[in-house]
Order: sequence, then C-alpha cells, then structure tokens
Amino acid sequence: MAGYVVRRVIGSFVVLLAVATLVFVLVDFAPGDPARIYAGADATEEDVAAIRTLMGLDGSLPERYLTYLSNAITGDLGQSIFTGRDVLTEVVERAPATLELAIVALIVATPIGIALGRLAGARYGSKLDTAVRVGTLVSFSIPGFWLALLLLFLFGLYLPGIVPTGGWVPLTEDPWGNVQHMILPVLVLALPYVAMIARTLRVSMLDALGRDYVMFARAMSLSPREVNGQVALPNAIIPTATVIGLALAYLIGGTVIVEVVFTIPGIGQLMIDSFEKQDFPLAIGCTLFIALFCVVLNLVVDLLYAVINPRVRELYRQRVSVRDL
Amino acid sequence: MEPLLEVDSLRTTYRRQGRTRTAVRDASFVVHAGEVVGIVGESGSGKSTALMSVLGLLPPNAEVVSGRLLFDGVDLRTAGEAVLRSVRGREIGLVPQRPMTSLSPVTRVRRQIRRLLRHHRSEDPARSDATIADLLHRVGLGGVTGRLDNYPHQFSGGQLQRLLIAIAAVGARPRLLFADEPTTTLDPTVAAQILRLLRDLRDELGLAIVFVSHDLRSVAQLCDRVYVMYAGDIVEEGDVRSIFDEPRHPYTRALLDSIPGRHTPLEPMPVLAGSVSSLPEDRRGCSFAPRCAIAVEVCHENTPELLPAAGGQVACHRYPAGGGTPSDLGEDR
Repeated sequence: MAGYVVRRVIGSFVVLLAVATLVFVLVDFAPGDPARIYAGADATEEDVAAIRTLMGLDGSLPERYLTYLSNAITGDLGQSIFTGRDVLTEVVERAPATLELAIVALIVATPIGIALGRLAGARYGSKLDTAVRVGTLVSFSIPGFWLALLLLFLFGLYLPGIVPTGGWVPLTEDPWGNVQHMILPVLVLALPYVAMIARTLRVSMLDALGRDYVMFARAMSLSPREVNGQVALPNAIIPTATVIGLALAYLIGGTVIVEVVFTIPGIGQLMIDSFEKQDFPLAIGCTLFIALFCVVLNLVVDLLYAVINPRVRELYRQRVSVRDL
Repeated sequence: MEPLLEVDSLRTTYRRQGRTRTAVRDASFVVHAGEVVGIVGESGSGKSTALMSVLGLLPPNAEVVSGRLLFDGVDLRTAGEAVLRSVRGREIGLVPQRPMTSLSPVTRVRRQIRRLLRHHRSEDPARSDATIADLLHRVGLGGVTGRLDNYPHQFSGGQLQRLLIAIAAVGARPRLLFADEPTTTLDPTVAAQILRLLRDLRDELGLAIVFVSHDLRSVAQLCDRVYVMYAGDIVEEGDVRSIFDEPRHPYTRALLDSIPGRHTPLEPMPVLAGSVSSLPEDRRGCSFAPRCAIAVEVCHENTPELLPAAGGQVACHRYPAGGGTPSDLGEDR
C-alpha cells in the first residue's frame, strides 16, 4: 500500500509537468502579445520591445520554457505580468474560496446522491424510483451557468435579501456569512453531481440485488433493510466510487463558471482573468493549482476505493495498479 | 404421517418481454420429515423455480399463479411476508447453486456468518468465535477457522459450499433443507465430498432435504425418493430404487440412458435430442411427446395425468396400457 502511494505521488508530478508544458505551449501559441497589451495602444515599437525584454518574453519557446521550469522547481512560479506580485502568493490567496466551494459541494452531494440512488435502486419501478430517475435526469441536463444565472435573477431581483447572490467572506472571518454565501454556488455545483451519483448507484443497486449473495441473504431471512444496506449497498458503492472520482474534474470545472457568475474571488475567476490578459505566469499558476487539486482528489478516491473493495486492496499488494486492469 | 412440506398444484409463470411462460405447471410433491427427496430434470425444467416459489424468493418478473404451498400445515403462498421471513432459514434452509458468488465479495467471512445467522438460534445471539469454530468443525472446515477474517474470494469453491452448508444447515438448524444443484459448479471429487457431508448431516440432524439436480448419480447416492420433472411437469415419482431399476416414463429412461458409463465402451452413447425450452406455451398433450420415441397420437392430444404406478406415480399415456415392460415399449421405435 505504501509503495502504491509513493508511485501515485510520483505519477502525480508527471501529470503536473505535462499540464504545465501543455499550458505553456498553448498560451504561447495564442494570438496577441502580452507586451503590447501591457504597453497600451499609444506605445512605440521601442517601448513594446523594452517591455517584452522586461517580461522575459525574449528568446525562443524552449529557452523560456526551460527557464520557467527551473524556476518552478525551486517554487518560483514567476510574477504576474500585470500586478507584479508572485504567482504563488496570488494563487494561495485565491485558493480558499475555490477549495471550500468544491469540497463543500462534494461533501453535500455525495450522501444525498447515495441516499437517492439506494432508495431508487431498492424500490425499482416504484413511483419514488421514477421520481428520482426523472429528477436526476433534469438536474443533470440543466447547464450550470444557466441555473446559476436563473438563481441570480430569482434571489437577486425577485426575492432579494434571502440569500446573498454574490461575493464571498472567509470562513475564519464570518462563519455564518460564509455559509450564506456558499448556499447558491454549492447548489449549482452539487446538483449535477448528486444526479450523477444517484443514477450510477441506482443501476449498481439493481445489479447487486439480482446477485446470488442477495438471494442467499434473503434465504437466511435478512430483512429488506438489512439486505439493501448491508449486503447490496457495499457492493453497489464500488462502481459509484469510480464515478465520484471521475466526476471530480467536472466539479472543479464547474467552480470556474460558478465563481464568475456569483463573483466569488477564487481560482476560477483569477484564471479566466489571467487568460484574457494573457498573463501567462498567472494563467499557468492557476491551471497548475487546479491540476494539483484534481490529482490529489483522484489519489484520495483511489485509496478509498481500496478501502471499500478488498479485491483491489489485494491487487495493490501485488503491485498492480487498477489502471493496468 | 403428515408431510412436512406439501406442494399442491403449483403453477409459476415468468413474464419476459410481454410474454408469459409457465415454468412450473401444476406440480405437486411432498416431503416428509427426515426424508431426502430428489428432483431431477434438465436445465429449464422448473426445478429451482419450484423451490424458490416455496420460499417466496422468486425474481420480480416471476409469479406463483396458483397452488398451495403447505409447510407444516401453513400455506406459505398466502401467509404473507412476515410468516415467510420466519420460515426462511429457520424452518427451510437453502444451499445455493453457486457457492463462489453466494457470499458478498466485499465483507469478511466472519462478519457474514454472524450477519446471516443473526435471526436464528436465539440461544447464542452473540455468535461467539467458539460457536463459529464449532460450526466449521461440523462441516469439516476446522482448518480454516484461522482465516475467517479473509474475504470469500480467498476460499475455494468446495470450502465456500461447506461454509454455506454450515450456515444454512448447521447454524440455522432448519427442519428442511433445499439443496439447489449444490454441486454443479464444483469439481467431481469435491462434489462427492459435499454429497457425503449432506448425507451425514441428514443422519446427524434428522434434516429433511430436497435435492435438486440434473445429475442422476448424485441423486442415486443421496436420495430416498425421486421426482422427475420435465418442462414444468412432474412426469414420474418413485423411490430411488424403482426409478433407477424400472424407469416407467420414457423421459426418465432417456435421462438414465445419457449417464456415461452405463454402457459398454463400444456402444454409442444415446443422446436425447432437442431441448425443453422450445415448447410452445399453449401446447396440448404430453410435454415430452415431441421428443418421445414412443409417442402415439393421444400423446399429442391429451395431457397425461400423474397416476399411481407400481412403487410410485407416472404421467404417461403409454404406461402401462402400452403393455408390457419398458423394454417392450422401446421396440415400438
């Protein structure tokens, strides 16, 4: 198990390196010239050239890339072109809002999704099952930005004063205010996530309930509640855990939209901003942060997967990765 | 003597893609206390469905349409879920067909034993480790008591089947045990051991057993009395000796003929052509008639009734009116 974690951590660094490289190259290929934007419309060619040198934009792509990497390894992600502040400082400043948003959405969505999926699967074909099926399909199909805007209109324009529709206060400063500010963004983020978990678990429950071990448990007169909760669910949860892990990327992508609509000062907003201004050190910084978050969460989910599935645990012991299967 | 289980005119149907198929058609059978009854027939003949009908454990698309399922005088068909739950495990145990998949793969074995026995044998609700060890010793699994914190996939099929028998037969101590093809998925040597174990338990615990199988050799080893099922019908009943020595129904004879090793090496082994599943739902006449070598016109017209015959019952128009012994009948081919 320890060996597995070490290998996964090394793998995570490779992923981060790949992300950094990709973003670096893509930003470089993007049209426009950050030096010219920074210099302004009236600037002379000499001014632009001087600014370009100042920004370290001289030299070929590989040269700049290597310089960037060697700096990054020492923890220096460069400075923002526009504010001149350290990228690391900027990112760390904005991180709490995004992290809180994603983690709270995950924590809210998972138990609700599991409860709904379990109920629907156990009562297959019932009215409740139909309700869950239709409800999750609808909430899964609603685009996040649309729902966010709709809520913004509803609570901003027609029902003002019930919940805040924008901004964010740190948990440490004003816990109650923080919770209030989280309500709408978390709702938007969690809804499709709940749907995804519920739908997956519903099908897995259905599958598990047809298995031999459920039949034997029934033949030993276990109650429906015991059969559902203790026999079927622990088996059905395994494929669902994979979905929860895969859907994390979805969740993190969602934070970007939610942050922009609800004006939450998080990484997503910072990233959009920096891409628009071609502030590439900051853009790469933001991207790396999101990649890091993804990688860490995936690692956690994979380790949890081993906890709930003894056969996977055995595979780890045999030094085989789940991904090799 | 009042039978322990009396199944009377059981009819069970399956719905599949809007069509209804009858899996068990008006089958009747009885099991007395302490008796080992075999139900034999090909796959799809309705053997397992009949057992699951009694336990009320049919899949959602199956339904008991009619019949009485008297256990100890109580009709389980109309008794309701609460009564069924008090019967399952406690009164009627089940040894499943596929031991490898009959325990949950994600839970340690010790925990599952405790869980499955939770509603049984109230004198030891805690299910102490000593009790579990004792259970395992009773089924010849003394060697694995140290491995109970393993998961099911770390045990062999034979070990798992012994474990399931320990739970269903020894732990819950029912009066009747349904063994639903318990040896089908096991190696022949292991299967023989499981059969011996079932026989020993019958002797030790006075357990009545319904042994469902398509393997006539196992039936011969274990059973006192045999029902032969074909396409949902019971076509013959008799004590094990008479079924094997003087089969009266042509289907029983065909089954016996297809046992390897009952023929001299040079003789080609007879094979019963066709399969059970190709029968139309609204058929008339004897179910076996399309595959029967001695069928006459009446066999295709009227359904034969199960009538008393020497040493048992048989449902065949050609018996004994067809005259003479089974071998004479064979001459008609």
